[in-house]
Amino acid sequence: MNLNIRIALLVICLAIFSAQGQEDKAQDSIGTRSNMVLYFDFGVVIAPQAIGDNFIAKGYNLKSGFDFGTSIKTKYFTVHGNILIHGGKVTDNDIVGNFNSTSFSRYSFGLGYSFKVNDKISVDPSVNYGYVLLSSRKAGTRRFKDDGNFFSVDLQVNYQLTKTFSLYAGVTGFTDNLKVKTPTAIQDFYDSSGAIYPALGIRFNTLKRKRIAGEPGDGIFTRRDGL
Amino acid sequence: MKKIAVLCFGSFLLCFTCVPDPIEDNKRALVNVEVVNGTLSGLENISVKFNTGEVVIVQNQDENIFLQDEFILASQLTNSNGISSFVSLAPKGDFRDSYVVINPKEFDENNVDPNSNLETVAYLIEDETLDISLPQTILREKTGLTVRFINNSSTADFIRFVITYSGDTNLVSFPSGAAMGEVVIEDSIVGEEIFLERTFSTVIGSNATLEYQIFQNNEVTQEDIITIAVTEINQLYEFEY
Repeated sequence: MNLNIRIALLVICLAIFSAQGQEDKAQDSIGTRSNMVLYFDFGVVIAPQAIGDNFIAKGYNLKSGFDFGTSIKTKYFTVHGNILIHGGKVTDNDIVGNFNSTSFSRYSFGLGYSFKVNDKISVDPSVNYGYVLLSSRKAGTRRFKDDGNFFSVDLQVNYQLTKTFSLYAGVTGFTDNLKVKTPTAIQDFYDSSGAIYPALGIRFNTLKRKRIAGEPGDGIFTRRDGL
Repeated sequence: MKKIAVLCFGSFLLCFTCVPDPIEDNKRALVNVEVVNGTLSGLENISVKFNTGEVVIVQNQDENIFLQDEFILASQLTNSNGISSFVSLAPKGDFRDSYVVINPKEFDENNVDPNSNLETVAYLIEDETLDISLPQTILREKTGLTVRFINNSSTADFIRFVITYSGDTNLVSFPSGAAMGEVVIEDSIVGEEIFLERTFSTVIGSNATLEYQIFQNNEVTQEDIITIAVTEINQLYEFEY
């Protein structure tokens, strides 16, 4: 497994365990509730668009895909881990290579902040760093890859449906730095790319606030809850 | 149950290792080719393929070069100026030979009919360069060359000869430019035979050489090297001795 993926997974796991530990600690010490929330996002990426003058923008038709994420919201920031998978159909073999399609996978982690607009709506911007893998196969061969790292900026708007679920819509801008080696004359066309990914999905909140004497009902912890 | 699992895993490994793995990760090669005819006019719709496989050079009257286990990394037709330029997947350096074939003899993967009147030129890529900008390539017209031996001598016991000619598939090293497509045929005729023909597939504009030795009582009585300029379709060269 690529080192970048390992690091990303390690960071995500550490963040999750850390958040759960903090949650337990907060509840133990205060005896009431935590100021951390763990979210899981399940969404679809709709019609991603590669941009710029590069082989992905000029030689691929990117397809819709799936978006899986987890976020830990603390009092001051949010920590994100994300996996995004979609396909791409090769439209110009003369610049991409002589094969038909590619599977794009992105693994990332990042930091952000959640702005609460009102009781129902929040806006979550974040910046992320990750590993991108373009896995392809020409008929009759094993898979081969192009890979690299990326930075992304994400803006997500959440609409609270219930205490447990919310809908989200977001857009992410990617700047990829790929490892593809080519002759110098065309290197710029292959070692960097950009893309914009719109996404829609459902956010699942796994932590519910603890019932406190005199406070009715369960709900999702927010900063407005008083912590 | 455990046996089945082991069997399945073994089968999976076996299948996986059987699948060819000729493509290098994270690499692209740039192939530039210009194809012209004898008058240096661009040749249109000539198939150009970048392959990985095994190049086998043989000394055979019908076929001098075999390209085996071909795996096509990329292919394109030349435009009206005879130019083909494309980006290709890159072959694994230590896997097999990699070569660019211009006007391959068989149909290409796009079912483009090869130009059967013109020779095939294959460039064997010597190093792992990703910039494969080939020199201008002249595709010569194919022809047959027949060398006819006529025995008018009553004293010759036998004649031994070597014919060297340029085959209709020519192999050139890139970037050194060394040509490797020459075919060498050795044969001999015993004195009783008075007539023998050998026909070769070659190209117009090339030269063939006939090197011979005539023997009498196991001693060479005559020897020479003759250069035959190949200039016409189905050329006949008669050699009397």
